[in-house]
Amino acid sequence: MTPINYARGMSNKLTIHTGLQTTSLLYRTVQVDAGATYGMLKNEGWLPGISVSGTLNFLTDIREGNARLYPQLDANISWDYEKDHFMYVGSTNWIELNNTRAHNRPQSKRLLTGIQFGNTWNTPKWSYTAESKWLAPTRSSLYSVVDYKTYSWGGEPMGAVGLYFGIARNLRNEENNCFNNINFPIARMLGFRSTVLQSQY
Amino acid sequence: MHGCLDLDPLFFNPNTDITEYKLDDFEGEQEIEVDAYKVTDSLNHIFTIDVGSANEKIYAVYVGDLDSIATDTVILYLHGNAGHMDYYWPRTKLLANVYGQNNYGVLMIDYRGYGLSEGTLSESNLYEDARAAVSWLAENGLTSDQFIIYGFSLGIAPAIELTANGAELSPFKIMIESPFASAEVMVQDASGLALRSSLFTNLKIDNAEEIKKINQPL
Repeated sequence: MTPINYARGMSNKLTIHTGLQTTSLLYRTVQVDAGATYGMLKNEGWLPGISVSGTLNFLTDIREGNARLYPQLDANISWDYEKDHFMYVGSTNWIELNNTRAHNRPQSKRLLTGIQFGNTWNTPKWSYTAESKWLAPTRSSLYSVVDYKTYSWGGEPMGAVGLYFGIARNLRNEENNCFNNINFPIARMLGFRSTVLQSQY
Repeated sequence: MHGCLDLDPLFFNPNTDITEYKLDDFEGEQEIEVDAYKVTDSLNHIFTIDVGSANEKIYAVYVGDLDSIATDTVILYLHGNAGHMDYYWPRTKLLANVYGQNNYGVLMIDYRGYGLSEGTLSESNLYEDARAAVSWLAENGLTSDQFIIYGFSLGIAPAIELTANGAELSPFKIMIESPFASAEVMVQDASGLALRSSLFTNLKIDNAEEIKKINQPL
């Protein structure tokens, strides 16, 4: 998946962001998202920075006009190092609002969880992110139609592992850029394939 | 603005790396091994059936006596989404020998795009190819009361579709192995979310719904 995202710093703690999934569009599904990330705590020495993020993901297909809305809650902790790098670890959580699954089966899984870790390198004009995410690590993917490359538990493949690469352009000068002053990731991605390339611009 | 790419082909996994069907002499990977079951060579018949408006040729193998199809009990074996007929050949032998040596006639086809069959597979082509196989059996004298459909994995979709919605022959028995409920269930299992299948694919396979129309023994 290759989303195009835009983020704007509203203060030194709050960033709003929106995105469009271009790969989904190629496959005739419009997927957009919008949300906000709040920096709760700034990294001080070994004490990590803490950020939380709320996002609404909307998907609709051009084939039949079916649509889905998924609220997403993320939390990350991060550490600055070597002046312009920071690493982070966190959790992504998509919330299932639908009460039934296919064939009117009752919905028993309200949360699709992922855990991620990554690193971002900020330069004055660009920032580069590499991230690995393990989606649904507690769910078996043994019988999935997609042959995910993932970790196994007791010989059974669990969830799906994605690799994400992001590149972001700083659209404002460094002094006035609130976004760059907040050291937390804004990576908000859903990967259905074993290897996913993300480019943020 | 919208794209024109499709995830549907990911559902089909044909192998076209063969220049001829070798059946017992095939040395590649096969789905199962059943060395104990043999079929007399003279009972193996490989031929083509024309399908679709473009008269594309799909390959088929019939195991049994071509001259006695009208009086034999025949199984139409609709194979899974991987490989080609050589890959599934051991299953065909197995079915031919159920309850005795060469007890059943068995017809297997390679859907469009599989093995040496021409064309490209789609959901509608899948049903059309299976329907053409049924027509071939009817043309050779088979009657519904001696016709069995056996679907494996992907093959259960046409097996159920033809039995539920009619074809030239209506089987008196239907067997399904490794079934799946629907395209929607596959999408939801793969994504972990209750997504509609149309968000990912054009496939409308709904075996769980179609099978409700079937009255034959399952």
